[in-house]
Amino acid sequence: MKEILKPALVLFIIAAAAAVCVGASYEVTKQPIAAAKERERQAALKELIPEADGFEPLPSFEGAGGEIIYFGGANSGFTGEGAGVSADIKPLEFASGEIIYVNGKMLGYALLGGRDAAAVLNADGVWETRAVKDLVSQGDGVAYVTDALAAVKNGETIGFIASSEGYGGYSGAVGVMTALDPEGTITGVKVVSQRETPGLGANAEKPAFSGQYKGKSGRLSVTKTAPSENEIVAITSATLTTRAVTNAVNAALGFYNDVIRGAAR
Amino acid sequence: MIKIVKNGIINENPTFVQVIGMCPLLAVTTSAINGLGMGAATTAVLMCSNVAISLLRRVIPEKARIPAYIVIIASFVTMVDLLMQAFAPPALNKALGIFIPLIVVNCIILARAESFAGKNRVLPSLLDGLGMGLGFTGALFIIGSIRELLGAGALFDRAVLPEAFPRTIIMILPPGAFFTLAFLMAGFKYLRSGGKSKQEGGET
Repeated sequence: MKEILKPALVLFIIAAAAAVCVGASYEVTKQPIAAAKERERQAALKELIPEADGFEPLPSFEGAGGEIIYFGGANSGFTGEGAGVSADIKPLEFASGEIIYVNGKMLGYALLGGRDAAAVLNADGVWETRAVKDLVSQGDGVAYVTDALAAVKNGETIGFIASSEGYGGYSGAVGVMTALDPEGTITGVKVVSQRETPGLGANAEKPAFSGQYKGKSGRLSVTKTAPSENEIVAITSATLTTRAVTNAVNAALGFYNDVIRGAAR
Repeated sequence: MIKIVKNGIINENPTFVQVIGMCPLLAVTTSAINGLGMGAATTAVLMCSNVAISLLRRVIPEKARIPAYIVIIASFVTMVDLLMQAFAPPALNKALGIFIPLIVVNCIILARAESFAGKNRVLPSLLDGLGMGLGFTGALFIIGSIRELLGAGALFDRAVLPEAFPRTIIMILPPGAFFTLAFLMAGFKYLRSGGKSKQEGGET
């Protein structure tokens, strides 16, 4: 009996001590990690639109007649496509602030607590909660717009930066920041988070690839041959990664058409 | 003392002789800089975990030593990961940070805990970690350089081969790691046997 109990007890003590150590270092590092992430984000924004002297949340859409959705942590408010159906807008109270785009078209809002379910406006103009996997079919380019900011210089809006996460890559979502000028033309794209294959998909971070998006607008697609207008040449051996990035950029372009352009008027 | 370090680099090189730690080796050696980064991160963690295991070697019960090692190493790596994200200079964190989580599943660390640190005193364990880490780093760096050179025509992200030289994409794909490893392992064995190509029967 003792032969079993003693190792078990020692192992328990080791595991408990390890748990305390890991927990303590999590608590200690939580704040500095958040600060470091924020610095990184600010640097990425500055890199995309260097002329801007500040980045502000988009103006709210209250006047447009709908309810206001707040983006997750960033607190930038805007009203969505729900304008005009405010009576049935209830599900939006549970929205996380992320907007789902499929092939560059707005589908609905992701709900708090995950991306499995979404609030979607059905054909009768009523909001309903649906599982995302029932709403998309194989090969659809799914992406989530997670945040959007206006780049400001001397009080004037000189562009927008939309953050989005594109699916369809090799390994999870690919996070992209898309910088747009006031007319909705892309002025820069930066891949900010990815876990694609090093040496192949990870090359999406290189300017040689992301530079392709500059000057484009509308809806983009991926090609493996010579590109025509609105086509992006896939990274060699990393077509999936290219698609994920392009899905994210298409969502940002869609978001510009649905939300930003409406606000600017 | 130096013997322990040399042992890790040459006689018991984790990659070419012990053939352990293959999983990260195949995954990250697509470029020279990746190889160096993974090697440096592994060396640091290996030295620390060897010291920790060596210090606790009298406390850890013989029968439950493997789960104890795993708990200690996994917590250790998680803490290093968090601390690096929080306090390391951004450039260092960017270069090494992505490799830290991969180290948790690296069997070199567990193998050294089991076969060395669990039986030896602190200083030799530290040196064993250093030697094994350097041996692993060297192997990763060489494989990464060869794959990057043949696959992308570059070294440290800088193009070195002329455009006309054909790029062999397969070299930066997983099979390229196996090809490179096979050639290097054969070469390493040949050199270590003092240039004799005599077949050593029965070895697997």
